Amino acid sequence: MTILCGRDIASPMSATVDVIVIGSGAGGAVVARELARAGRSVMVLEEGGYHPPKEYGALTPSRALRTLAREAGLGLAVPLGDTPVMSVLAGKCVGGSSVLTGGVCFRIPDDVLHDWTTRLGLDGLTPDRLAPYFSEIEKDISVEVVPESMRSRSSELFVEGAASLGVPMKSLRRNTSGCKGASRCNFGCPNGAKMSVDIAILPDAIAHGATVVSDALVETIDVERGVARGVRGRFLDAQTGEPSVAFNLRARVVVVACGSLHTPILLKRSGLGTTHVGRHLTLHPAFRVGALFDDRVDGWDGAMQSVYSDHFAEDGITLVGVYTAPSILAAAFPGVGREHRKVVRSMPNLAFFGAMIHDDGGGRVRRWLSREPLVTYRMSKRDRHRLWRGVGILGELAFAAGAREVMLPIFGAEPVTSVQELRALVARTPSTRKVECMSFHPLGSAKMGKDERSGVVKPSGETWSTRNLFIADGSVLPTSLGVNSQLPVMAMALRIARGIEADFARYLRQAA
Amino acid sequence: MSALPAGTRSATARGLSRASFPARTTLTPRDRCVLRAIAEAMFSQDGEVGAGTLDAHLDDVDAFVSAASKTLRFGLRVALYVVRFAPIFLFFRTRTLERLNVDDRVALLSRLERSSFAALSLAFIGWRSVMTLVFYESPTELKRLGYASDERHVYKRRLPTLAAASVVPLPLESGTRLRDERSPDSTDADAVDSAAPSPAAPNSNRREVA
Repeated sequence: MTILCGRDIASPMSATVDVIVIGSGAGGAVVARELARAGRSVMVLEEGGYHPPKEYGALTPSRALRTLAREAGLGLAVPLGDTPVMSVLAGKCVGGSSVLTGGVCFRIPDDVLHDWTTRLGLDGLTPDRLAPYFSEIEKDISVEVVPESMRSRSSELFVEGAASLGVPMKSLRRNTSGCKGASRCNFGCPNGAKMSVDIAILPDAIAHGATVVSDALVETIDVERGVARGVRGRFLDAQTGEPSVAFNLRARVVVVACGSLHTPILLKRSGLGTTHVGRHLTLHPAFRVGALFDDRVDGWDGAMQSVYSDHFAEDGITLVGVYTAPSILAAAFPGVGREHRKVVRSMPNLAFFGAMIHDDGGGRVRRWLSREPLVTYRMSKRDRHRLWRGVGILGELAFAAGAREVMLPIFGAEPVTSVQELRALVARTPSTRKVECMSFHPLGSAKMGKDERSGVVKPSGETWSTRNLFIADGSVLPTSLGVNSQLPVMAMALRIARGIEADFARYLRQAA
Repeated sequence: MSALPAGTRSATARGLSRASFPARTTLTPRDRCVLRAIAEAMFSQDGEVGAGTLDAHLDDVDAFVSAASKTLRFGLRVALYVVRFAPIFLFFRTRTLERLNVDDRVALLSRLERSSFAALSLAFIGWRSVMTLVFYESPTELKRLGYASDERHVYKRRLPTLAAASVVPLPLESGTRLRDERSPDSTDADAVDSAAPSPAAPNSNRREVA
């Protein structure tokens, strides 16, 4: 795959194309491929660098984070009120966050779509209307069930614990082909088995004539008489990573796909910050408990994620088995010095069980001192209740599976050694600010709405405020999903791209 | 589309991608001194890690945090100052962290970790996370904690199935909660079994495991 590296471009650049796509992640890649296939000249601008998938195997987790993730994976949602501090992981490379996901693929649950069509009045988003888009993307990115044989011992224990409490677990689906169970999908698959968009989608876009430019920071969208006309920005310097050489690109259609954290920032910087831009951010707060067993678990041997349970879906909790790189797990262990070393040494006997909350939109994205946004999040009372309930459920599953000790996701907390101790702790509901949470699915910060008063974009993906300007990433999803968002983002992007192509003659007239 | 400027090169033409921006550094000599004191308390309370290893560790930590934005790097340095001066407001001693002996440092950092002031606690926990993440990537440390090698065994159990079915069709189960097309009594094993070869659902992206 041939990518133009912006950091190698020494002189200002200008060009005119049919479509500019800002961002090369799950949304941007799909839009670029569809429109390139339709014969449009397409240029994809990606702020992050390009790293060929064959290099992922040579990256340790910390190198992968500092190379492929925004803020080296240290991005945070600043808590407001009684809210946990949440790390927010987002990709910054060609392929975007799809390079850093666990590969889990869910369609948008029917009850969520029902809510969108009935309560929010969004037409055309019924399960039946979206099914063809999901099916097509599932084939493109090779979605398959994780077979039981690929489950790590950690996942098996999760299933055993759940079974003994009557909680059914199911096999997850992921976009993989030839998974060897390296258990480090979220640092770039070392075996090239995860079908992230840099492997499964972008090569096809390029084969159909699309140009992908890395290290290209878009600073503003040019708008004239209410119509998007192009973008301006700068390529990043090879030594410092700071913006240097300018580019000025003209296009008939501009598609923003920078993700839920950066799409609102770009819109605001371009003077397009309408009421809802940057608001309603949902994060799917996720947490995990560690369970110490007498026998060896070696949880790193197997698929990173292979099982889930929707048993508590009505309560807004999805259980997910998860086990990642040992160094990442060690980073969350409590203690200092000898005490910490002792917990780290118990790693081979530890299993990890995870859960995720289907949350209200309590987040907000703001511009502030740097290029990166200020993300704030206020957890609702309902979600705090869900969080503690989830912690309790995971702890009980761990004890049911035979765990000797359970490490809860609470900063500075000692491990609990019995169900009674666990229940007493959860019943006390300590301050939620001390809970360690993560977010991998920021959504909704430029949400779809039936009219200008209720959202940023139309159901077609075009912004209400500016013609020929589209958004095609997770920010348009109007509520959280309760499930992983990669596949929904891709399916929505495909739908938006097909809509653009169907109406392209009109957009050309508007751009004239 | 107009021509791209002369000198534009592609990543594949160059044949090598660069991982980060080499001119960026974050830690001053004083920051390194404080971080080294924390590293010693965290990983070498009994002197089990050599001085050279700790110094090399700091280089890796610097490279890691330097990939973050200016604002975040500034925030991290502020957090480091909080940890450095913590002995004053936690131990009421007019000494900075790096001037305490190792056991006192461990005691101080433990109190910081358990502090009821979330900001104090997070100042230390943030740095501990970064340092631990980098430290336990070393092959020596991974081996010590029982991570024998990158060799995986679980997937090999799957190889016979793959050999029989080089094309695995898309499953019946859609993966959507309310769209489970299987009967309520079917098991996950059925889902896996259903992954038998089927000409109805070819997938051009699929590759065999070598």
